[in-house]
Amino acid sequence: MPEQSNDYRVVVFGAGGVGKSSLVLRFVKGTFRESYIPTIEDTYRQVISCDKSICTLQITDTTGSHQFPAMQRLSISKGHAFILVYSVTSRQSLEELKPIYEQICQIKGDVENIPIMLVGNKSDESQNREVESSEGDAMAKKWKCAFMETSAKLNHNVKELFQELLNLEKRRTVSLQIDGKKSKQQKRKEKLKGKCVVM
Amino acid sequence: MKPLERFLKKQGSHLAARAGPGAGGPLQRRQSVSRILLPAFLKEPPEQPAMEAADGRWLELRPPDAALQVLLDDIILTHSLFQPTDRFLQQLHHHFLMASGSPAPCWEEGEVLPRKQAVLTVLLHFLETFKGILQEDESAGKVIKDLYLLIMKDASLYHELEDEILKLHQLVETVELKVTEETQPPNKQVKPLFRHFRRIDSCLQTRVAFRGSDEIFCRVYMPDHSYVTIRSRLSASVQDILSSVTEKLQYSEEQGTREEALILVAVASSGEKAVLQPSEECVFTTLGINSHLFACTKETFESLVPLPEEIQVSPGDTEIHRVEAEDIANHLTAFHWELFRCIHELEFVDYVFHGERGRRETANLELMLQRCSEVQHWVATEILLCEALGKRAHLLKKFVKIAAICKQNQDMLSFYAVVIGLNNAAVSRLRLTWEKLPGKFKNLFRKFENLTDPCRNHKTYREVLTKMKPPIIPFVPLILKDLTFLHEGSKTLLDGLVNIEKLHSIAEKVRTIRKYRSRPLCLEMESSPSQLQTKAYVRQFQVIDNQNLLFELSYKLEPSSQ
Repeated sequence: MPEQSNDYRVVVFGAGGVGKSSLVLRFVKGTFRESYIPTIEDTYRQVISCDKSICTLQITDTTGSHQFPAMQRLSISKGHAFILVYSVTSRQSLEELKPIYEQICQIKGDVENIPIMLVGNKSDESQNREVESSEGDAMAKKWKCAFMETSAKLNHNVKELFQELLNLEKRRTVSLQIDGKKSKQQKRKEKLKGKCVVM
Repeated sequence: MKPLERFLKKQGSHLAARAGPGAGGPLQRRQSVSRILLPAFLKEPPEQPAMEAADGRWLELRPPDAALQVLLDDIILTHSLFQPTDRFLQQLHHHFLMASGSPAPCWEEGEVLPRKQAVLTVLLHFLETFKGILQEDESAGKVIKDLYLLIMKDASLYHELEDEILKLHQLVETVELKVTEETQPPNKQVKPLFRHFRRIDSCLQTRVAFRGSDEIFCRVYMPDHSYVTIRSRLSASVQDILSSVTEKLQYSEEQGTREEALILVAVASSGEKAVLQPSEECVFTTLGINSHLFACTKETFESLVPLPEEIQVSPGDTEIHRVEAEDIANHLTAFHWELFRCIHELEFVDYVFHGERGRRETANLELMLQRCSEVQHWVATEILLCEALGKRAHLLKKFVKIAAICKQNQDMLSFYAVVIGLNNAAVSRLRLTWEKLPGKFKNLFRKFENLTDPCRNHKTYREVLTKMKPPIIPFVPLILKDLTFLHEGSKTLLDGLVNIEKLHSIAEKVRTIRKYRSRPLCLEMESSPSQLQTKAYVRQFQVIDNQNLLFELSYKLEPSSQ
């Protein structure tokens, strides 16, 4: 039986259509599609290393278009790290992050120790850009969190985003182990799978 | 029953349809019942050689005779046993046309009005009975609309029909069969059905009935316990669910070439797996309490493991220890009354006979059954999570008290569920705990066990129930058992004749349910914050439904004495 407490939970927030699911699916499955399916709530799991042992990275992709305040509160209270996504093509989408950020502060209290990444997605759409990179940076400074621009479509900065986020975690050492140690991670995965079959 | 008997005595007649096995004294009655109704089931009417045996002459009824009202009710409630609802309505429609003189004049001038009145009476009774679930049946809705328009056309010609037409007007409106063309379907809210949504969304709101067209959210898990949430019609087929999942997971676009077909599997907390067939519909409400839907390929099927138990083992810290037995019992009764009221009376008929004739959803009945099992597991879970012996004995006493108050509330469903929960082998083996139960409560529980004793076909319980006056919440599983026996004990059709006696027995059962609900249940409860907290607790139990795990806990509390 997998240990619930061993999971490291990342929650992705942002307005509808900014590309939350695209970022998550690009990272988890390496795929991208143009069509848009509104998300209700999805969670993906990956095996990562944490304090030199294995743990599960849980990435929860939330809804941008439905209104479930109670579910949002629950996600925040259960989350360990947060990704706040806006689209560089929509100033409105950056505005819409404010109440979410405030709610995280309210529920988590001391946010300085909590990994939060502000993400400007769709950096490839330079023609439609409404929010400059410097503005995102300024907002991140104000919120005392990290900042990055990404493109899920071009696979720009996606892995880096998740690695950076985990690096921000100071309470434990979490790592995706992307370079070099891949084979080791692979082995562990297989070991885990083996276990499942036995069960 | 009385008027019917009297009526039947007047009809000295011969056998028309045969009753099932076990005929004897009552056989006379059966035969005559059949005769009144069944000329049409018996022979082909000469004018219409194309008609089938089970055809529309039940319309020869002449209301308002009380006995005929009962028979009409029988037929309306159970017609789906021998004939799909839309076909039933088509016959009604056809009959009305014949009375109007088209396609061919069949009757004398003086007979036209009574015949139309008969059609109207049947239609009114039908609408009254099917109120609330007709929107789900498009083809039936269409026939009713046609018939309604026909009748409206006639309205000015027959002043005698005025009252009926007025009533028809109102009914058509209440069943939302808008006659105007191209009406937009009302924008339905997505209803929280599953525990993970139920918990945080609107558990405090009064339950309303679920219909097949309702949209719900549903989590579908992957072998690694990742999940996607899809939005789906309650009545969606397994195939529909799988295509939503596939779409979400982007299987179709970039991995199109090596796409592997997904299967949908229900995995119980015990690890038990059941593969669902692509054509199955409405699977959501049939799942076990802590069962989850998994989508996987055939290769990964073997590796599926259940989700970890949701329940936190933090002993003795739940609401049940803080709240009075009376409050819990009253909240149980109030909630179960809501659930019971949501069940359409036809769901009882359809649940037992489904699969034979066009499937109608029985979601609300299934949810009630699910809840009944949930309460049983809740009792066992709470007791087995309570580590301290003294506290546990106290809790045991509280549950006996809860059962007593539920019984007093005439909520026999909660009563049964609590008693069954206490009788769970993992609980009943806790000798030390039971020994600590005060003698008075031991006796009380013994009485309860006696009352729920299934011997002589639940004689004791049935006797108690007949002494009660509505409102009553019956032990629903027993009703389903009775209906199943009625169904399997006798044939519906024999030599092309319909077994009216069988239909009558089934309809009688449904009328009992109608009687139980004929008066509203009102419990006096304050709405203080602490009461709301109790209400929320009662409506969203977290339970362990894995019997092995319950045993494990039980042996940890009181190891076997050897």
